[in-house]
Amino acid sequence: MKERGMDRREFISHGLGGAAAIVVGPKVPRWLAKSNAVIAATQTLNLALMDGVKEMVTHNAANNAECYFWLFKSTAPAIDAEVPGPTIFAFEGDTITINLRNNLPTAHRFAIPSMEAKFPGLGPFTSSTMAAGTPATPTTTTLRFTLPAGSAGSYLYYDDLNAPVNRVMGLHGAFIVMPNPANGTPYGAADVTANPRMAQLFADLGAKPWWPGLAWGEGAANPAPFPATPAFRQYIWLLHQPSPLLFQEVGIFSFNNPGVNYPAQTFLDKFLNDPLITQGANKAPVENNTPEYFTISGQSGHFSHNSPFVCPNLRVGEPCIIRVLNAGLWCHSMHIHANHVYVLAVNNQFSAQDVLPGQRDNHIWIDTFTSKPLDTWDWLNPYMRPPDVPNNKGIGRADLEVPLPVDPTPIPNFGVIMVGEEVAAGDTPPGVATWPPTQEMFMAIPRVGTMAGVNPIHVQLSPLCFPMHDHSEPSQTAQGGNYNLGLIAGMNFTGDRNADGNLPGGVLSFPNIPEVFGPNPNVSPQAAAGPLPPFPEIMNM
Amino acid sequence: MFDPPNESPPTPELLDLENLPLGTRANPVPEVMLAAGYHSQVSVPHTVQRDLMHGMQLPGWDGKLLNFFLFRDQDNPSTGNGNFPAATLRMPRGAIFHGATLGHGPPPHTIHWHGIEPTPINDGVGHCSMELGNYTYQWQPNFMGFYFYHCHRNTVQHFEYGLYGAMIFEAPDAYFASIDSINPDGTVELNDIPIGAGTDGLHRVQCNLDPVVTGRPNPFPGFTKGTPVGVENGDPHAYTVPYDVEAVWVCDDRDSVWSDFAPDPRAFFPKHGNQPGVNDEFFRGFFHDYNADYWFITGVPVPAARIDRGGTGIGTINPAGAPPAGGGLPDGEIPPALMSGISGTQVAINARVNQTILIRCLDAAYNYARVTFPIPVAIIAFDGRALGVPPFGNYNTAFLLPAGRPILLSTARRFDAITRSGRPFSGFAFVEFLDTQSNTAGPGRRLMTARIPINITT
Repeated sequence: MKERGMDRREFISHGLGGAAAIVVGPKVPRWLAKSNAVIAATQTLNLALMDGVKEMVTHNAANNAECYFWLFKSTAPAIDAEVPGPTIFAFEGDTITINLRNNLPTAHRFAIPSMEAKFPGLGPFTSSTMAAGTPATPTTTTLRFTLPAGSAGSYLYYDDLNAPVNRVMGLHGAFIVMPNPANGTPYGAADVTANPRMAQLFADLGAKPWWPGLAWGEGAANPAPFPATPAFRQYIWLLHQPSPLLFQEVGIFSFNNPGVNYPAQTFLDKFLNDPLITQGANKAPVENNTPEYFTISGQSGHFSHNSPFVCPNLRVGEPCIIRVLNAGLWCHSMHIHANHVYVLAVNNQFSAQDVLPGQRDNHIWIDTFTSKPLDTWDWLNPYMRPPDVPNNKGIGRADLEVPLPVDPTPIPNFGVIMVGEEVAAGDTPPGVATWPPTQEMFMAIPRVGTMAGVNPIHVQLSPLCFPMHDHSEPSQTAQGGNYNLGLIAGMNFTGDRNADGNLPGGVLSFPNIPEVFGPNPNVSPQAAAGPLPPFPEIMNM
Repeated sequence: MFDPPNESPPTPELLDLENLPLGTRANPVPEVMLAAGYHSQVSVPHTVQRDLMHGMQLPGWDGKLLNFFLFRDQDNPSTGNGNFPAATLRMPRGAIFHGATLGHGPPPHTIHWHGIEPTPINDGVGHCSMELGNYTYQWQPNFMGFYFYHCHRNTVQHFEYGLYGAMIFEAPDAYFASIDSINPDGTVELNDIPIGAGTDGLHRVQCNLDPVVTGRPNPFPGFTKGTPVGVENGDPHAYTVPYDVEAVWVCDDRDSVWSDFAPDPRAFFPKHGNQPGVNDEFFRGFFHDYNADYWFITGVPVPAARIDRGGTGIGTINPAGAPPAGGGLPDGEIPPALMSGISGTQVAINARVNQTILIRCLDAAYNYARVTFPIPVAIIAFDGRALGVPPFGNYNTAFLLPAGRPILLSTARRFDAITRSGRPFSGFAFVEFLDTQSNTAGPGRRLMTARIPINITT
């Protein structure tokens, strides 16, 4: 993303954007220490409210895919401008100072409204309002608060003025509070006591026979050359729906009318209800003010699915939590493949009355869940072996000594083999067992050697790749079509911690897996998914 | 997500269905369907057939023709050139599923078995593995419950246009219980046990009813506990309850503007050049701009128009009524040939007092479906996972949903509910379709209300 006001408009593609994070406190905790995107640990945040133009996704580089935004930018520590704003991690009891500088021509403020609602009188968690400013003459304010006991959870911070315009224009981000002291769950001590089923779930992970592997708060060493698995594995999916035409109109209006808000009702009407004007069958319609891009933490399509910062890359037996926050105006119905997930807190409560009427501490195990505008909720992804891979012992249990009768015949032509230093099409390994699916992992689709022009387009089916997507499918598009460059992430299996002693420590690592658990801008996701040589562990099985 | 060519690879880690170890069995449903006369053939033993897509125009309630993309089953003459929704796929939990599929018409296609969690190539998601071609999917359903299947390529259009069907996994002894003997050629002879019932002749659904109402007797007779669920489980009826009447509610919506102006499966889908992402051809579309104006419950039209388009905004479905305003279902029931052989599945509910009624509900619409029952029900499962059934259900519980209290679903979410009345009752369940484009922290405006008749008689 480029900041506005540069001498020359130039744009960059974002393969790993949206990864910026700030940790409040004296040191970066272990669960984020592996992340190259953590810029700094600090007690003081310095956020500038500004604008910028971002290049969005498109199948055709000739298409204009730019979108104008307002955003929170961290100036010290300096983090590249991005929408959403930097993710802020903090702990219960932390005292945080946020210095704010408004460069925009309308009035703005910083707020954590759901924190304000949950802890009345303990804040404020909302800054005073800054009048209109300019980059040369910004207006400023400072907000200082202490995070109360019991505040551990997932929050949206945003500008709640002229609602929902300022928030939806991009002035939002994730504010994550972790419990202090740590208790093995993502929640504070009182929540653990009051919600025994939630507490039992975290106590059982890695401890009961149906959840072999690690507890959530447990890390582990791995056989060389793989890095250790961090404890407290967690991912953030912040959902948003940018409208290029409308955001541009708001930007132009605001700069032409300093101090005057764009009418919120007009914004809503255009964003939600602008009429579709068709121009004939299979013909492009007139572009309107409805949102055209659908993002997770600022990314979409393969940029979000292939980012190890957004998409978990973990082994069987390495449970993680996924925090989903909706900063936009659409409902999304988030469907994850490969594992059912447990719904933990919804809007930092343990009772979600519209989807679970009358219930509390009732952690349903689902494959799809509802994200309404401004919702925040947490999933526990157990990262169990995909339970419907054929097995003959029991779900989550070790296999019988005699596996199911797999056809041993190697599959010709679809296999990935090494010829010298080069990857070539050949036979897969013989079939041995349904898990790990060695034949499948050494297949390429399409076959090795398939080209599009000068570009090889085969993909080896390892690590095991599964999507997560909004099943309310209009969001699975960009520019009105372009499936699937929309709101999608996923979960990948990079190995199995419960490999029945086939390997030292029982830890299996699949071919081609990323060498980082979280964000690492120095490692291209394309390179990580490309035709690297198989690792010896799997070859020796 | 460059679009790979269609592929037809052999199934990796293919299981030899003739030599499965004791306790693991192949899917018996194709053979049972042939013996019952619903299938004309079994093309491949123990293998379900699904091919796609088949374009067809079907009328909405007012006769307006909508473009549909459909599945059919080449072994099942009742599927003709395709059904909406597709024939329901049912089979016993724990059996090995092989599903042979063949892509027709404009590619790409896949089949994703929603809620089933197999390896990626068997998960049927285009960019994560492959697009058809033809392929035999392989998995083993390890949880009883309610699922669905659909094409997972250009899903925004294919799912909207009807490329989906319901999928239900029964007790482990279902279907096997109806087989009297197996002939040398692999065909089977049936006994008198109703297809889909267990060895005791009863249809069962997975649940744990113990904690539904603390301190009061469980009102549903026949609930069985037992060994916690696992493939090795010795009691196929552990944590199940028999039901007498089953209703399947698949809530769907359609946008006739999409149907009229994007009739081609290639509409607004990239045509790839020889440099991915550089010279792909794509022109702006409208698949982000959804405005439903026709609604269906399990293929039965909701006979009404939106209020803001001059209609009443509320319609009562009539499954047995004459098309296009009615569903055209004989006796209002879904034919067993389209239910994997199981008879009596309803859309509107007709039951007798003291019968246990099972309602399986899926939101296949792109909008919310907010469901309100006129009588209390027990919510016993979400997304194919029965609440409170150990060990994975140790962290949740079934619960009572009072009459008149709505429960909100969004796309692809589903629940199972059971109910039982000791008194006659006549009324309606309401399915309100709410816009997912919303300006507040809550559901959006109501677009349509479907009334589903519920009649309980002596």
